Amino acid sequence: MSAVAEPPPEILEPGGPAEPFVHPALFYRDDDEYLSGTVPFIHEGLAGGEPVAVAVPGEKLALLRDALGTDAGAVRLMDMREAGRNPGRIIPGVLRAFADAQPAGPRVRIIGEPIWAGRSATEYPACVQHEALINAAFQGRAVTILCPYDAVRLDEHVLADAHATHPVVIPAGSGDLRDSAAYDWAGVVDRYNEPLPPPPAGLVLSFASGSLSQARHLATGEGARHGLTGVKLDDLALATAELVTNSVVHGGGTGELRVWTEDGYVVCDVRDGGRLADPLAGRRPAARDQRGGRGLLLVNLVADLVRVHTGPDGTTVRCWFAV
Amino acid sequence: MGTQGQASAAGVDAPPRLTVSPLPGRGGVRAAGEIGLTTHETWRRALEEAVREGEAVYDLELSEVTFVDVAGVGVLADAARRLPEGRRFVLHRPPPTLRRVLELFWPDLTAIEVSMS
Repeated sequence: MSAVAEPPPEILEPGGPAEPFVHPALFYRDDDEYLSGTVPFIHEGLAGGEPVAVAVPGEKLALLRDALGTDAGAVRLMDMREAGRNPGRIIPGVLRAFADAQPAGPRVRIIGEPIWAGRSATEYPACVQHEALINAAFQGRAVTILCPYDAVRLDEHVLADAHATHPVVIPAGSGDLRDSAAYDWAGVVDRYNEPLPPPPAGLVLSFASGSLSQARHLATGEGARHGLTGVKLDDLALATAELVTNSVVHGGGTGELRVWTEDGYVVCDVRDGGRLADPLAGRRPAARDQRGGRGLLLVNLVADLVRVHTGPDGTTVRCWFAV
Repeated sequence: MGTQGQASAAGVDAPPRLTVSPLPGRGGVRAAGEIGLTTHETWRRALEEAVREGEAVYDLELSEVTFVDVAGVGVLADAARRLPEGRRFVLHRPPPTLRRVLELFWPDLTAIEVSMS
């Protein structure tokens, strides 16, 4: 046995040493492929003294917990259906919340599965933009985020998008890490910056700085009427206040608020004449001593889904709160 | 644009207000109203003064505050962090949104104590 001939773990150095952040998509067709793609990745990390987290849907979490046995105790396990229900919350609330809390030095390993069969057509644009923005959020950091994709149950266009949001891919059953020729995360962010479906006819409030409380009361009145209570109603109040305040401060001074219900959700929609230039707005965890800039982050943390459309004609932020 | 259900509030509604008055007989203030964009400055000045006071415990009676936004809680957290060692703010019956934002962004600020009595 040679002590020097061991190749480095391939997964850590796909594109040369220039970019330390590694973000592979792992395609799997069944539980065996799932486990053979993820368990060795976890064991390599633990063996190297690296912090490891797993944020995947509950049924996959159970599968991994069984496969890991006693090693599961050394891994931070999170149900992505809960922690990542709103895709806009995953970077600040799951991935960076874990990575930023680790000691400097060792690489941080995370398995993150934000897109599963059953994500709705309304959620999907937010999901795929989240996957794209991970590349911007972790650029330059010694972090590996491995993203499993169900190659059997997910639509073709979803699997094609995964090749655009990940610089490297592991084809189903192969175990090989390959560069993705389709990689173009910024293109994905733009492509899914889609106009939102038109809101239903109903109550519209034109607001300005003098009517911020009225805007909030309109939202909470509707929310309460449709069954939101307690913390959920407080969250709707906070999110509405942040969105209408943003419109007044950054979006040209005025805006329009609409509130309605659909499919068990209270939906709050705020539009104004501003343009949201920073795609990572609301996705950076706030430093303790940072003074402002928590408005969109708050919205991402408390809403069950946030969709944004921004362009030269203005910005719309729509958020959903489950009743 | 249809007019059904349309409500234009611009210039009609009065902006939210916040009043701050000293608590008789002890170090602290009672605030009443709403803490948001148009009242942050009043809130900030009240807390600046609170930081300069000498009492170990500075009471903030907030039962008549109906809402605090994220930046408003940020002003409070910022002031609490600048309190000298051994001093603290005690918040009396703050609105639920204040506790929710503290829990989300500043869960371990030891210089803030919440009292619901």
